[in-house]
Amino acid sequence: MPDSIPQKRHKSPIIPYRLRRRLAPYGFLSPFLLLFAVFLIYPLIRSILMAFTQSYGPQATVFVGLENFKFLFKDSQFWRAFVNTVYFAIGAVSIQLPLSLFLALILNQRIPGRNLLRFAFFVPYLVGPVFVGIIFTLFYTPRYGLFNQTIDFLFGFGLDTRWLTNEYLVMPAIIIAATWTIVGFYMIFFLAALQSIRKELLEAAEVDGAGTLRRLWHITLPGIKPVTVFILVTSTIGAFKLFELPYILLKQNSGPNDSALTIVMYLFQTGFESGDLGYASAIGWVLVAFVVAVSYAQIRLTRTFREDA
Amino acid sequence: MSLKHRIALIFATTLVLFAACLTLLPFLWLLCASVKSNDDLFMYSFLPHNGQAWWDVEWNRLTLFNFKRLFSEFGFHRYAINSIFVSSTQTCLVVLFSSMGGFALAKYRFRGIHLIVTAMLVSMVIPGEVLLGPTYELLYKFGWLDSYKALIIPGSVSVFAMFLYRQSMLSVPNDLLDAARVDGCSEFGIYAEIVMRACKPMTGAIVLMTFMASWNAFLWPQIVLQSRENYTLPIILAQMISLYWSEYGIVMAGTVISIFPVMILFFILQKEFVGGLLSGAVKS
Amino acid sequence: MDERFPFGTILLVFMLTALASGLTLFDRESTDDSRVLTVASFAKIHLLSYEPLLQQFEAEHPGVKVKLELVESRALTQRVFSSFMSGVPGPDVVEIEITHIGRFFSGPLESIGFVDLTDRLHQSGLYDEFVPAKFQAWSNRGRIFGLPRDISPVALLYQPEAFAESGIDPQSIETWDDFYEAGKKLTRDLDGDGLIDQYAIELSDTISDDFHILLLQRGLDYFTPEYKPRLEEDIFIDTLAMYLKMAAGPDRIGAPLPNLVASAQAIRDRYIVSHLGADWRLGGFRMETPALAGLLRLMPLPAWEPGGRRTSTWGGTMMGICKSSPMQKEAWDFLKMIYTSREALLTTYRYTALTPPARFTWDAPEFDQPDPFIGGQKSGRFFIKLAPDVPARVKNPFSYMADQTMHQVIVRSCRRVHEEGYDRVRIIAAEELHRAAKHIEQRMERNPFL
Repeated sequence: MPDSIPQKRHKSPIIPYRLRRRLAPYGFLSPFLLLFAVFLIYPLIRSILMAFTQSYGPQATVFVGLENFKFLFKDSQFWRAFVNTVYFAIGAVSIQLPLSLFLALILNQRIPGRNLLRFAFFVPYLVGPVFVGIIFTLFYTPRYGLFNQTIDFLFGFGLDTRWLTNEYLVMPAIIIAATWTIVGFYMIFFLAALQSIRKELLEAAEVDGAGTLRRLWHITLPGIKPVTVFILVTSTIGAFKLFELPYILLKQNSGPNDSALTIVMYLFQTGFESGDLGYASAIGWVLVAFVVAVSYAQIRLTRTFREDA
Repeated sequence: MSLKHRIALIFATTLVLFAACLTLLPFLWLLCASVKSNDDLFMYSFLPHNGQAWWDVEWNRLTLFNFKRLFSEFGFHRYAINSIFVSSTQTCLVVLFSSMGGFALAKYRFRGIHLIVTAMLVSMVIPGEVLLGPTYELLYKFGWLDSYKALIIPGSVSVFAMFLYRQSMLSVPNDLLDAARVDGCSEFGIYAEIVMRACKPMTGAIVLMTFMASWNAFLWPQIVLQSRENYTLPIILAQMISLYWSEYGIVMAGTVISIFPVMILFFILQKEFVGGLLSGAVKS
Repeated sequence: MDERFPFGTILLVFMLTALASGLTLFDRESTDDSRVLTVASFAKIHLLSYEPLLQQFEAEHPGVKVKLELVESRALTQRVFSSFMSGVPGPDVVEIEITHIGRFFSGPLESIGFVDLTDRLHQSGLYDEFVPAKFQAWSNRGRIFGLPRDISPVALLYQPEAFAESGIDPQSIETWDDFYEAGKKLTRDLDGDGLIDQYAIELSDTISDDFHILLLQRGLDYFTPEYKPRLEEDIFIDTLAMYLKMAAGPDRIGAPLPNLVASAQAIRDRYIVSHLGADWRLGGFRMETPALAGLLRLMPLPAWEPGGRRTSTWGGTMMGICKSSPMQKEAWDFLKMIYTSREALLTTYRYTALTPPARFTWDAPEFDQPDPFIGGQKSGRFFIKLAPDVPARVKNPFSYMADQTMHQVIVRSCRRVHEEGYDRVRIIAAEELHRAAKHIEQRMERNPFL
């Protein structure tokens, strides 16, 4: 590497060396900071202010004080969206996390073609939510769709199940589609964590006569805990932002009886389909509060467990 | 390994193999659907076949017609070029801005550094959805709505990418930089010639992440784009599912083409991508 | 070679790609300098029918080129809407579907983005050509903002073979009660596996469109023209109860189609053997699913009481002009061409089967031609006979929200009928409608701009 350092021509500097070195970081940061200020900081502050207005697009705005938040707390549609989102978050995380861990544990063994298998599970992650939605709308077609036909072929029932028009099955259908896309992604993290566990520890335990399950419980699982917490928090945050997948899957609707209305979908509908950017901001900030609270709680909770152990 | 272990492992492997097949099934189905005619789409689950024997495929019923029509009738290349332009420009800008920012944070001490880092960390916690309204309003004031600028420029600031760069730049030894300075290398020269060269794997990871996010983006383009000639692929395809429901083969063909580029890029950048992802996880 | 560019080969490739794609894009944009009149619609078939007329229009307006733009309905609404909110120019002429029109009226009157056409309509004498009821949906605070594109009379599309097999003579069906009795014979388990393979009629238990058709047939809509919800009127509850009997009761005769894409297949398989259908739906079937040729026939809707109205209305579109358009005069000329030229209206009819909204075309011999798609019935004349009876619809800024609420009413009450038993159907209907009315009123209180 050192011999690739370019030899610059020495010229007498116009700006003295020390000053140059002091100014340099600001120069490097300025394009980033400019964009950061304009497209993150300003909108953030503006959005707080907007939450206290009611508007019809950027042109007609009325200041309403805390009215938006008051309405939000009695707005049954918002609470419906909230419950749906929490349902999705809990359902998705509690399926995806163990499933990806299971896949990682198996694909960490020396089995033939494991790289190919890892790849197979990862590839859906590369498909954008819109495209996943497009593909899965057809899968879930009752009677003619692949999903029901596969279930019918394997278990002999469920050919006419209406996944997307039955209010109780919509969320499970979304969770299945979401799991399809994301499991391989989490699996990669688990695999990396598994590989970082020291082999000697496992071997020593085996010599001591610890069975597979005991080794899993006492060595492997504690070893991958930081990554587990990371995935737990990221996947929860991701789940709270659910929007595109159900939006496309349900033809830009919120599902029967609003059963697939998520918080972000509601935010989008109020802000950009009804034009009330103010109320949309209020929804957004309530979402922020929940996301922060839940991630904080998860991190705290996992810490307590460690102290117990 | 004991016999019991072996049996358990074989059982688990079979299970995983089966799950892998199920995971890939949608892709197979998608490919089949894109080469079937409309009448055959729901008549056969995968390929058109003769009576009960699924292996007896009627190859002559398959057609590339859907792909042909996609480009000749629907002008699909226009949306593809839009997507390519927006995603690749955005990728280049993210790499440039965030690597420069990351370099400043990793290799210099200066006034305000703590304030900046704190602000960035806070902004990472807040979901971008809160910013949709104000950013829309801002772009309206700039007169940028319905333009490529509206997609590219707000999208070219990535705090996450900047932290990843900072992370990997910290491991470039300071002695190397000082040696270059003694040799009369400019600060920008150090950044470009030494640090960026050392961080090539990270660049690979960030390229893939940014490109993927931009290529698949739906919510923001859906809000700011007005005219049809500016649409990106997810936008046009989301519309096609309703507009061309009776010619679903074409939509399937469009989907095949749209998910292709990201997969190719992933094949090229696999190693860097996984490395980059993991260093992100370690930091958090 | 990799070493030359410190950011890595992959980024170099991306920079070149960005440059190349950018050049192709911006190169193309600079070439066009004729004035373009953009006409946007969500209906492929409408735009197809305008295409043959463009040459004449462009000849009469030198220097103007017409661009037809197809945008998916929901996306089009959202785009036109946000162009009104933000003042970014949208299309010049736009077609908006009736489901979404209400929200355009929710701001201050002066911020409604459509050109007020009331005076132009009266001055040009065009107003008198239309069925007056059809203007109501496109008006707000006494002003007309769009021209009705259609009349959209509703009839019943049925499969004669399936009816014959079950021994039912469609002529004998006069009321919905008659239809229900016939429907019980048509709803069958064909292969004896305990699952029903054939339903008499397509009725949704998740969305309220079908219910709305039946309601409109009785001359009732969700609101009065004064924005007062009508959900708790007796006749409303009564209609819902009958709907639940057909779509959700233990002896239901209706089911929804699997989904749009698979609908042709499901009809061919006779999963469902009759459908509520407006003229445009027949046109849609003819255009999009030629495989259904010969399978379907038309009959008037069963009435609610003997001698009652035998049609209703479903859907509908208006054509309006955006205020942001710099070419409002040309846009109005375009509208006039579409609506005053006999040839233009008949072209649209040929493509879409839409009964022309202007009466002066109704004597055209075309309407008496047998339609091979429905076994030689004269579909044009059939719908024209229904047209004068078509009920008016009321649309206001709360209509969309009311539609959503009514979807919920359908889902919830269908579910409750399953859970609580059909005996409670009237109570369920009344309770759910009361709940919905409260919800609608709560939201109506919020708009500060009306």
